[in-house]
Amino acid sequence: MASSNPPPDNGEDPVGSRNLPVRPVLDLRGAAIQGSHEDRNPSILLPNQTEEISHFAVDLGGSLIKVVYFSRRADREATNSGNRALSPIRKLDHLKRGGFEAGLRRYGGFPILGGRLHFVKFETSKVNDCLDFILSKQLHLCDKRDAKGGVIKATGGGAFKFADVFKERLGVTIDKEDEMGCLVAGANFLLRAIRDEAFTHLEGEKKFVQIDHNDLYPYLLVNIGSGVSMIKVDGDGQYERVSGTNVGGGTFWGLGRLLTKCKNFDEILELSQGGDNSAIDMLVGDIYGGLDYSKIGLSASTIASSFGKVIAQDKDLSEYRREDIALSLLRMISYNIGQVAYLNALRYGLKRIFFGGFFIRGHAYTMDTMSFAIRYWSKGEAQAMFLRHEGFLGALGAFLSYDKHGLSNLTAHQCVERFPMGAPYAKGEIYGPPIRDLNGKITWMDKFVSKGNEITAPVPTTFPGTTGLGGFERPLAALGRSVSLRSDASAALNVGVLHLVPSLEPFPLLADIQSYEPNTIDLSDQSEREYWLKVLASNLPDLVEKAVASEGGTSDAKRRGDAFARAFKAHLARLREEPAAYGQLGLANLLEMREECLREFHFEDVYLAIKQRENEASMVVLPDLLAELDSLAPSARLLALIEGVLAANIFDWGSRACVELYRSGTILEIYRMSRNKMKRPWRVDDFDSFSRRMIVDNDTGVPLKPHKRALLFVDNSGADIVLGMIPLARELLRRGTEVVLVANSLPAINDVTAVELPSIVVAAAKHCEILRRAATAGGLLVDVLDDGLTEKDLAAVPFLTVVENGCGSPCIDFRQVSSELASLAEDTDLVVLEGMGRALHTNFNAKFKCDVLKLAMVKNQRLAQQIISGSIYDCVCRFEPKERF
Amino acid sequence: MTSWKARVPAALVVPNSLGDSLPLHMTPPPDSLVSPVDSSFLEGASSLARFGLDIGGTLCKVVFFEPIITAEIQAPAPSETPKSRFSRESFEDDNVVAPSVEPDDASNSNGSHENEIWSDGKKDFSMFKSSKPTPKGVNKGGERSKREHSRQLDRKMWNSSHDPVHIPGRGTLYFKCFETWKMEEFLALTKEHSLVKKGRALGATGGGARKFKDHFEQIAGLQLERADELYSLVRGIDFLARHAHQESFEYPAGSFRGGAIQRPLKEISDDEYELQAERRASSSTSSQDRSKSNEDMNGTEALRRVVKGPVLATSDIERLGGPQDLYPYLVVNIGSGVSILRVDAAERFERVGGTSLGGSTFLGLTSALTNCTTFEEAINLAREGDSTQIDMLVGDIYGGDYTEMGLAATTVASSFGKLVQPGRREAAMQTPQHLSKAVLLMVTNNIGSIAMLHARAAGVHQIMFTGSFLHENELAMRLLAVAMEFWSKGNIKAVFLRHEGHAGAMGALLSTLDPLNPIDKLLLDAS
Repeated sequence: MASSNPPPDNGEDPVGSRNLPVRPVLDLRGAAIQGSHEDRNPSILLPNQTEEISHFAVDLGGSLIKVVYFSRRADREATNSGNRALSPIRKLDHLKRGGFEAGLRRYGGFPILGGRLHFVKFETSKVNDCLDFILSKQLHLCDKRDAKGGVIKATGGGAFKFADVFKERLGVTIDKEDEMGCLVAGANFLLRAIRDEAFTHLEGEKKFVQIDHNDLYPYLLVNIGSGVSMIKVDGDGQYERVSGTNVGGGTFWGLGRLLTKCKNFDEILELSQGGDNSAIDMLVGDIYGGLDYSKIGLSASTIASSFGKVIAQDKDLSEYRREDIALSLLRMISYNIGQVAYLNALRYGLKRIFFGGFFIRGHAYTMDTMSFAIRYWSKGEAQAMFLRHEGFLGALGAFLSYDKHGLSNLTAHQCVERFPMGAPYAKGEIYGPPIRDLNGKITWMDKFVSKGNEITAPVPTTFPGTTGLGGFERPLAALGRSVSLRSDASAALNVGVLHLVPSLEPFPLLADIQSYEPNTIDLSDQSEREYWLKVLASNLPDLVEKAVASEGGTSDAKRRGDAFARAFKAHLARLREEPAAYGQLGLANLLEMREECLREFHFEDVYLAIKQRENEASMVVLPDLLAELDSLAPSARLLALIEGVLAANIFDWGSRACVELYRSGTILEIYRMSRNKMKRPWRVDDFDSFSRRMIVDNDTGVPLKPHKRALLFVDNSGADIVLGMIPLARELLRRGTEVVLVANSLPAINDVTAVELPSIVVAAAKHCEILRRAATAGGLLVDVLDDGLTEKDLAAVPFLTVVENGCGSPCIDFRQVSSELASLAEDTDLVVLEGMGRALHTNFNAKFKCDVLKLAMVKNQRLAQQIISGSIYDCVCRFEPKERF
Repeated sequence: MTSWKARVPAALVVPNSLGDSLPLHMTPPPDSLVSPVDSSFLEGASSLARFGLDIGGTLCKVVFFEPIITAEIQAPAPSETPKSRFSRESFEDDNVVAPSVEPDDASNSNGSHENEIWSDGKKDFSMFKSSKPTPKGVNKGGERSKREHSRQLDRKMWNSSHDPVHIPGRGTLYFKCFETWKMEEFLALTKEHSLVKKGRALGATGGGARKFKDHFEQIAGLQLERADELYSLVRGIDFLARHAHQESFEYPAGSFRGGAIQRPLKEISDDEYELQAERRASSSTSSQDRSKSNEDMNGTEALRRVVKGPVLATSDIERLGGPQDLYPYLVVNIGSGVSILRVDAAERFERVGGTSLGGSTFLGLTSALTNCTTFEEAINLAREGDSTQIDMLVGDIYGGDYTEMGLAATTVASSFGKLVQPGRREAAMQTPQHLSKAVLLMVTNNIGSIAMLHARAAGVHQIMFTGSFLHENELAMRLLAVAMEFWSKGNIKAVFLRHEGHAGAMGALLSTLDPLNPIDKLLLDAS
């Protein structure tokens, strides 16, 4: 049900696209790449869409129907209001500075706008549910533009079988796409577009693998459906079905039904958890009297013959434990698939083997068995990798086969996967139809509260273990170990809604995007994970209180607040159970998930009132602060400025310690107290190095050229931005450096957003000529253009402007930033990262191609200990000049 | 000598009893054979028999060599010396003369006593039965009930029977097997009949050679001389292929309708086989007539008895151009599980793989799903089965051939895949024959595809399929032959052995032979 509750879908129907002129497909694709016709069409995602665009495709399999459909973002109004608020920035059009132009042309509001890919599955026997779903979403209409009715892309064997039903009920004709082609296209897309798509699974450990798309081919794609197909993939559209086996998912299910009388697939899978296959299988030890046949590398627990023991014993089927049978069957089929896959990989010299299809379902034992087979036979040469969207390869490929929407060019940095609040309850299972309205969602939540405990409750079990040689222990063999693990059935990984955001790009100033890892703290460490999950849980009541208050404390707000709390708690519980449920888990993801969850329950900006209050309070102090700074000598001023930034960074509603502080003092009191504590040396103190860079060259004693352009990644509202970062920006402007204030696209805690920032700058500019001129030059101040300043004057002034970073999280992942930010990075030679989220939780160790200054006050004891071996309220001033790299 | 082999159509006929078929040997000299039951031969000569055992997980295969004893051989026989047996791992007991083993009195056994241990109860092993009624057996109630039990079990035994192989002037090889779980019974009989002279080691291989080593010593007072399993297999294949005529065979290219896409068995009806058989038979009638005398002389009478089954090109090692031209080849030995070896030369080989989906998987699953208990029953069921009600075929999914991928509509896409649908279980359980067929196809197809992949990886063009799973298992052999031909476009041939399951035991027998022992020499020189 992960995708069963996307945000409101009303108005998803791409009405706008219908009015587009009909143009040849290829021309449009070209246009999309050049981006030259977009001024008139603010739709970023599919500038190239034509009437032919279709919004869904199906994979009609023997047992499951998989649907992939596309929706456009509904909240157009929010976008427009955002644009209005930011409208001054449009005035920058007249600035034709390097790198600026491209960014501006593409500027169209929030980047998280393009559209979404949803993944839904139905049981084939319930085909009517699927049809109802399509009807309810009117997916079939989007392509029905003429009297003949639409054509939809379909793949899978059922494309023949269900053609009539589709025609009859939906009035659409099925256009059958080749199955293998779809699988390959789907796999290629996923591996390119989703960062945490592929993972390895060895001895119970999941590890996500970052695929370098340039080094992807060739690989072997093993699709385990009813049967198994093995496809050698050499590139986009270049593939060959090289082999297969008739022993696949259908065999497991069909034979499993016969032998265990289970009703469905998952039941058999579940059953196998308690099995011991040595009662069923003939092991090497049975033949060799408990000894290994070590000469050929077979340990005693290697299975010599699956089901081999059933012969010698004069027993009825009913006399065997169903669990043992289920495990033996699973083991036989998984190992065999792994082995046949290995042989194919060997034959073609392929190192990577990806598994798709709805057989694996995140089941640890299955994956371990396959991985083991491949590792064993290939002596570690080949690697088994599993896909989070394993079941949707075909449907996705069919969707991509429309080939008119330019989706195939998307890459990982343009896709953001979101996990709707139902995800923890659904454990990766996806059903339709989704809950469309908020009330329905809350009701749904209520319904699941009681059941949810039962569903998410971890069933203690253990890791399957492997032995050194050829042996493969049954899952129970490891019972002696103290490791207890969640139920395997719950290990299914969640599949979220894929948000397609073509305006996202990797940050060009990253030193090495391949090795870049945003998260500083590794949450794969269990105690670390537990700690942060606990922190988030303990912050929750406060947050809910704030959220409800932010909406006036109405009964509706209370209901939503409760539902949010339950949903978010469930997410945390899910993560405790299966850390890899939503892909690789980092603190940044956790924090962003909380913001996303709030938005899902329509808490658009919980801290809005607080932010405004703090901004106003700080603004009162600003003139005095500026005057005080101006009275200082340049070097002393620089120190005072950095101190100011660090001191003001204490205003962080994301920190529990700080929230406690706020209860007992006014903003200014706290600020002053904080300022007074700014005694150098700080825990991390590169100020002298930074100061030298800003003033004189250390070697020659000659003043260095000022930075050309600085990107200031700002953090909190209130004193942090007004008394900390704006004065710093002012100092840089004074030195002739262009300044870009980079702020969040969407609200996150009390972080200042790109929507709010221009008005803050405008307010500050009232007190300062430097700011006023720069803001005018940057297009933030339109009204003062007549204020005696000519365009010529302005051209000589370093500008101050605001740009959104493309995310709605207190952290930042530099692999995905807004294209405006990316384009502004071109002439940038100084990056300032401020605050815990952006400089410590993430990016503390990130390397850039330019000077970078990381400033933050540590407001968490544990983090302080771990990252800087310090304690709470210690400060970090880390300067890394470009030369270092 | 080879001219007729290519022309004569023949079915692989494994006779049900020795009486029905003649042993296949080049020059059958019935008169020169020392009768196995000749008491004069057995007088003090029981230890002259040579045994090889392959004790597998499910079946114990036995090869027994009965030498033709001449005076020349008999004389030097006792002069065996330990140092000559350099090839043995352990033979400490070699010179220990067994404490007064009574020679068997087997003067009138002549098949009158059925031996429970041998599933076919053939008379050729009756010589190990005492001619005298065993007092113990008759008188002791416990013994009787044991025998009854044994008889009861006997019904479940694999009815495996193989032609003996006569090696002119040297002796005859007999091929037997019994189920491994009856080992103690076998040992008891061995002891009772002094099957082997004490002190002389039995050549044994297979996992059980280690597992049962102590049993042999304790129950029967016999030494097992363990031979490496894979080495025995390779050596046994080599020996059999050389000495048993028409031992290896293959299905001639184009035996099966096929062409562009793989046709599974279902499409190759038995009618068609017979049609082809007739066609081939008629096309070669004249030459057959011409060579009839030769055939008779060669004792190939059996080949003319065409039964329902495929046309086989009889091809032995000579047809393949001699053993040296067989290399490199793959051995796919389908016993309980499956071992796959690449053989590069007579004694150069490597285990390259295997799978746990083997013969016992077939029997285990079939016996779990149906009420049959023996391999023979399971195979017979499968012969009558139609798995299309059980398996999901390519046609079920695609509505026809999946021509882009070269898959015929009738190819099995997913074994047991149709049973995924609700409500099919009960119907399926009513049709044991279909279930058995589906299991057979599942196991065989899988072995075929793994074998093919290994053959490609190893770069070989011949795959020798051996192992007891193929015993009287025409369906599986056809399927493998078709699959190899289709997937390799005729480049890789499936080759089978008539004594499919006994290569390991044969090799074990050979490995215990001492070149200085005149009886051993009979076999060694032959190989």
